[in-house]
Amino acid sequence: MRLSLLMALLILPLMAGDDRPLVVARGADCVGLDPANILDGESAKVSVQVFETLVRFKPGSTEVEPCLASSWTTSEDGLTWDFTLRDKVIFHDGTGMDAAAVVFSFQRQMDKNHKAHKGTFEYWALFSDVAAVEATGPMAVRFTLKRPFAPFLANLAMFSAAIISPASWEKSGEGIIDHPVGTGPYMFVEWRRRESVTLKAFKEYWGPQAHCPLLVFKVVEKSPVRLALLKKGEIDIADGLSPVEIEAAAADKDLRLAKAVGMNVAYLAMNADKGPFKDARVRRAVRLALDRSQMALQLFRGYGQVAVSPLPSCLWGTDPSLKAGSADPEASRKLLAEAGCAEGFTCTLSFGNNPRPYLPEPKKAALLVKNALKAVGITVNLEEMEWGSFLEHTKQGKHEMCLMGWNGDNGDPDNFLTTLLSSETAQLPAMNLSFFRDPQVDSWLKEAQVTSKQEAREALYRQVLRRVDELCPMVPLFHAEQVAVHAAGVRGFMLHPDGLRSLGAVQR
Amino acid sequence: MGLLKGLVANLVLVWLVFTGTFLMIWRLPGDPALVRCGERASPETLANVRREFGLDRSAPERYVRELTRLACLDFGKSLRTRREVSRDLAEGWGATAELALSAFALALVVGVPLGILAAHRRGSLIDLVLSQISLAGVSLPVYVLGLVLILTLGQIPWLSFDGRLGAGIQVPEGRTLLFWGSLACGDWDLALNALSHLVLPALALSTIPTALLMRMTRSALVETLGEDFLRTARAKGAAEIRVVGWHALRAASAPIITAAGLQIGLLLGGAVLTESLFSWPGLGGYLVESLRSRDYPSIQGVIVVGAVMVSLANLVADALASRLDPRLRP
Repeated sequence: MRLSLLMALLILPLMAGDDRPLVVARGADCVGLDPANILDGESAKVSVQVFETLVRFKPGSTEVEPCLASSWTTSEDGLTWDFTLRDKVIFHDGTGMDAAAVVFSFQRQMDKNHKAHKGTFEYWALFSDVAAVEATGPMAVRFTLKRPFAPFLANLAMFSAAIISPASWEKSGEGIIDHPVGTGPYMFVEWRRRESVTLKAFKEYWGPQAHCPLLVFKVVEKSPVRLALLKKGEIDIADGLSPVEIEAAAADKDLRLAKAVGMNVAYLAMNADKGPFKDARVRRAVRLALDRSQMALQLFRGYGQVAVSPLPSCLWGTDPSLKAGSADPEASRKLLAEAGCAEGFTCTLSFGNNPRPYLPEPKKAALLVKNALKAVGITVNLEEMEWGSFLEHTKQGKHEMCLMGWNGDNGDPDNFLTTLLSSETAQLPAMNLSFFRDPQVDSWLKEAQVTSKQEAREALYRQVLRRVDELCPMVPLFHAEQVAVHAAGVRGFMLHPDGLRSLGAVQR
Repeated sequence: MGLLKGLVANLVLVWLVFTGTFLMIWRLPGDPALVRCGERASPETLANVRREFGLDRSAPERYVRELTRLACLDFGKSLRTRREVSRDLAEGWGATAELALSAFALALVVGVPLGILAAHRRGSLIDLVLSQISLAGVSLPVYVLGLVLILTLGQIPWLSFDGRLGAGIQVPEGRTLLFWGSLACGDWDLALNALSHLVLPALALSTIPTALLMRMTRSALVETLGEDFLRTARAKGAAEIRVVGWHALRAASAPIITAAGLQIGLLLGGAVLTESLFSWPGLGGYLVESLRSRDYPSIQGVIVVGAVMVSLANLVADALASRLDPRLRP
């Protein structure tokens, strides 16, 4: 009796230590917590702790596995998708997750007359082929598409397709933007704006219980301060550190790095509607002048790969035969001469002066490009712009060359290639900043969208990539790796190609 | 009468600030819908967002609408946070006010006495040393000082430099001044936690006001110290410290109070760099984020509130100065 009491007294203090919350520090606050109205990474990071989707990506990959839906079938023509929902899943407010909740979550996004259609629902554009969503039973949902759309399943894994509690809308209306109610392992407690979001483990979660009872996302604007807090032991996990800071963290024996391939690309777009860039030879000459491996080393210090094509390596559909090649100023000059620019020419390179996930130091990158092109006779004038002005400038097609990038949404090559290289997205305001218009590529992309056979799609995308490599509308530069730093005592923390996911498995 | 004239003058000033800001924002390239969508801006998404944000109205229409709303103290809804701007401002103001007032209190408590000391011992070694320190204080960039503080004092276990409060701590509803409010309510735990987060940023932010107040106090006092009325006070047997610290200070108070008023006005407007470095959720960071997002209602809100703060502070300072120094009364 006394022995067991003694044991209990000894263990108690050890247990009490775990009441400290798991603290994740990031550079900016969430903008909103209504998953259908989120556009920024920080809001998404918190949203994926609280909400879940019908299907989700397997750990560390972009392949899909069941989540809130336990199984599904597709019709032969690819137009009807039937999902069977998982049993006994409850929302954080105690109501049950059922077909009505799923239908509510999607209809509010697609139907302008729906009572809960409040917001801008930018991501619904990826679901534009959905004609109808309906409940075919208490736990069964049917999606009817206007045309077969292969990326549909992957799209259902995106955070904007999260299932929200209809009761939470009845209770808070538009207030769900700061009182989210989902089915995830963590439930919402409090949001102190521009300070922190506090979540706590949901006791009735259908899956494995979250290890850490309390999870806090803290805003710490400056990256050196995040590193200082990690070193001091006041926070557990931090992201968004610069390459130099990552190196410093790697050298610290009390800190560990977590890495994942980034589902992103940084590229140099050459406006095909402007002057010398109308000629593909000039564009290829620019590509030959750049030593991308050297640039990657200087900009990312090992935490970024050279991009061979616009598709990051974690995506299927990449063409293994494509190589980045090394810089060849001689060949570059020859091509320029062939194109009638033997004397070289002058042009402007526009870039935004704020760090982006795919390009943490845009100014440095621009300078590297400028110097490389100088060696082949092309004089580059740098045009540094503030983010909003830069967006205006490039999307209206006023640039000659620009540095831009893209973060993938759903792990599907269509998301990268159609967005960046189809004629449709060359309409102003453009997402195709190279203003690349090739009917052949357009038809391949459209075909790949409606085909459901994986091998057929892969073959089509390989053709697209080879043609794009030949015509060179842009120079794909890098795929930035995602790196986060955490305390040595934190276990189970993983990054995924599409960013941060549920932290339920993390423990200290 | 003087007070009324002051109020009207300040109202006109606020209106001018509002109009000027409106014109500047109007001419800025880019719009909130574009910045929100970022790389994803396409014809349909942009049109949707613009409609939702009410950007499809003409500029004169928006000006009139916003001015009438402002007259009712309604700043509209933030395009970015989707909340009432006044609510965003109230929260941000609590944070900025606590930091600004704490830094100001430090500056008063340290700067003015040191200034009196320097004036009293003018020409001595103490005066020289203090003058050099104040020069350094004014010249050192707050950002650099802040970083130095983080890397040195910040290593002390109890002191924190990440926001206003430790992670996961609950705050009672309605308490905006976390340290001073908790102190007033006897909530010692919360007050202590808030204090541990307040020390470093307040210290960093107080250096310039301290130095300025010290120099202002010294120079104002030195001018007064030669006056005849002080000879009378000394002849009546007053101790030197009372001569300098009370009689002379009262006569010299006008420029000191004006300087202090300006300082507190500027501090309350939001110390952007300090707030950013210490992740302090004040109005400074809110303004920067609003500018970047072209969040028109928020930008207007912060700038107008800032203008009102500065004018109020100056009104109060003027009133105080004329109370203390009869020569200034009209």
